[in-house]
Amino acid sequence: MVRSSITGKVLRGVAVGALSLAIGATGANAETYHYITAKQPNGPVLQALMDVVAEFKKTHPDFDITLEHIPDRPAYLQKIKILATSGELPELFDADAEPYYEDIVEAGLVANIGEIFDEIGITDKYIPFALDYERFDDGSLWLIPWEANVEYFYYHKDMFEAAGVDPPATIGDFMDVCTTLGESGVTPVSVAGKEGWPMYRYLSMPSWRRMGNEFLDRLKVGEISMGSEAGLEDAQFFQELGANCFQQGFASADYTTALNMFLSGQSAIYYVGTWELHSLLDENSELKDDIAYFKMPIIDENDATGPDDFYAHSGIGTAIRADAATDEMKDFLAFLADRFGDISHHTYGGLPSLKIEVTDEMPQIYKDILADMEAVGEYARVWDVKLDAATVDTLFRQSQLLGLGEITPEQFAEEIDRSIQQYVSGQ
Amino acid sequence: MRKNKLLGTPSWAGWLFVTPALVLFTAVVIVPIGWSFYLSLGAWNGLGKWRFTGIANYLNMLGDTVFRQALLNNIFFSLVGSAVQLVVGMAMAVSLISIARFRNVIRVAYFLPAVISSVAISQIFVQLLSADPEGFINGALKSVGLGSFAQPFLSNTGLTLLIVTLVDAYKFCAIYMAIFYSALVSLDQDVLAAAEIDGANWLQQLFLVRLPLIWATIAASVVLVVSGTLRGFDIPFVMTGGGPGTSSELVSTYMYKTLFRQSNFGYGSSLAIFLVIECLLIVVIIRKAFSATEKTG
Repeated sequence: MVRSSITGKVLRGVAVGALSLAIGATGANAETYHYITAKQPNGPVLQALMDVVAEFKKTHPDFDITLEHIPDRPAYLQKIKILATSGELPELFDADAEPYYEDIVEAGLVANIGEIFDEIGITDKYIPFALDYERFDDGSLWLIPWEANVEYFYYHKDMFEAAGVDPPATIGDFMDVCTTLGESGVTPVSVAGKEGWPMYRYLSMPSWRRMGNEFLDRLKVGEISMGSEAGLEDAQFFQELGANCFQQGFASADYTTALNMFLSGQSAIYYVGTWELHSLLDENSELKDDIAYFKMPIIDENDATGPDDFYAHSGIGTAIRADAATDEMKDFLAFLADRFGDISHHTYGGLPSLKIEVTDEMPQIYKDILADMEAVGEYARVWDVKLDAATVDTLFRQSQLLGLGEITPEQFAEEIDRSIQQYVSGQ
Repeated sequence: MRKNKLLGTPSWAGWLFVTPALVLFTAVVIVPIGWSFYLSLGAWNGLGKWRFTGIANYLNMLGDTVFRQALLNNIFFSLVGSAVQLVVGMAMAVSLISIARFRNVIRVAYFLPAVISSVAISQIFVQLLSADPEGFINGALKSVGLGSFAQPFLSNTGLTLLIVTLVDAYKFCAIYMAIFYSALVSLDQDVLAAAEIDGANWLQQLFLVRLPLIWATIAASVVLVVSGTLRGFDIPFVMTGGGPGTSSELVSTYMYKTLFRQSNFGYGSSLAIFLVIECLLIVVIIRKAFSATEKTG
């Protein structure tokens, strides 16, 4: 009898304990949002985000965001696709406004960020191009932008001086600069040909100067051929770059290798966005003495885009799972819009997607970049985001071969057109 | 109740022992293969509804130039990789049994590549083979007057497949060294002594006595190495990503890209099923060949 009573008490105790643990766990998870991100853990975005979360928690103690970093982009995308396939997307995750994410949106899995921003009145706090970059073609917005990036050609001033060249104003000048630098024994340009996107930036420059975003918009739906005049101009330009400008073996160079080549003075020019600015600054947050930059060169006076129009975007954005767009999350987004910009810039030296005030104390390079952002009329859209995934794969393979001189511009164009036609006919 | 005549146990007792392994095997091998086959008969991007397309994905494979190139690359990767792994593995094993001093030290040194991760080995060779910035191999070639051979090895479409094949073989040949070595040292010493008394020299002992005696081990190793190289993925993927172009693309790397970059689960699954059938067929052919050799031998 005694034994039975003790057993009963123990069982009741275990049951109560388990129940309270379960309730406790539910309570803790109710406002804890899991964020799987491809961003660098020590970058300004995540550091500023977590600072904002810490501030928000002072008034909302139950709110929290837990981070899971997967900095390797292919591994990150693989995980997100598997989670999406199995219906287990996290509350927050990173994505580009590309065709696969469009499928996620169409499946009703994520919240409409544009509507939320309008509802809580924070749309105007963002830099317009940062929002526009994350929008789909129909203008809808399903991703939170974090950064405002512009892309420049950075160069070593002493190498240019030694070779007797000036920053090029036109694409023709750019080739001449490459030739002269090469003749002076300098590797003109280091590029990460193993990554894809740096190649596509170079590849797209002539057609973007000639036609603006119209070329890409029509190319992706098969309305214009890569074998058109503008498309072939792109391919010829890229092939010349491979022959005269890029480092030997560019096709197998990764991002870090190409960047380090430039930083260690083994190449004269490096094209990158302002997300990498921290690598190019000195201890006073100004560009290092030896480094300067120039914008994307023009072709001539017949260009459709001007010298102030170039690549400007907000990088990879963040989606909110449909059921995670709670009132608490909306409160947080409103708080984020007030605090993130300042913390990101003033504490971590980032260039946020939110408008920030230009102050006298701000380093000159930041003032210049913000002025450039202000001056951007039309910004160039990114090929690897706008084209379908199969075409991007084809583009990657064929760009390498084109740059190495293994195929002709016409063969390149034929392969890209074939891939786009397959995608269009399958839609 | 029927009983096993030899052991006197009920006939279902054997199934009782086999069932756990059978259930596990079915769950982790048969079901995924069946599921992949189902996916391969349709179009699906991982979201929304799967749409039946019949054998369209398999027909697409016939016209897919990337797949054809990947298949040819795979055959080269498998043939050359298997040959190098087996021959070098055997040479290392034979060299080990031929020395008396420092055998353990050399054995550890030989085995080192097999315990280093594929990613680390790949990155080491990427750095060694780099042209700009100059890696060790190009620097060494220039310093010994062979500068004309210096080049961006991993951007040379004529060399990348051979390079990834050899690096893959370098990593795994120590595994076959260990297998062959353990088989060679376990041979009956009396047989070898008899051969020596009969006047067989070292080479004759090796080819006419030792190797025939470990023939079953060699046969099993061939099956292992061929099926392993047919599924080769990590080193080619890390070193070159299958490029430049399709120069070092394998069926497995292409399948990965199709599944996880393009989210084309239908076509990617048909590539996976192709790999399964290809591996099974080749393993069956190898086993038939070896059993025929055993019968005639």
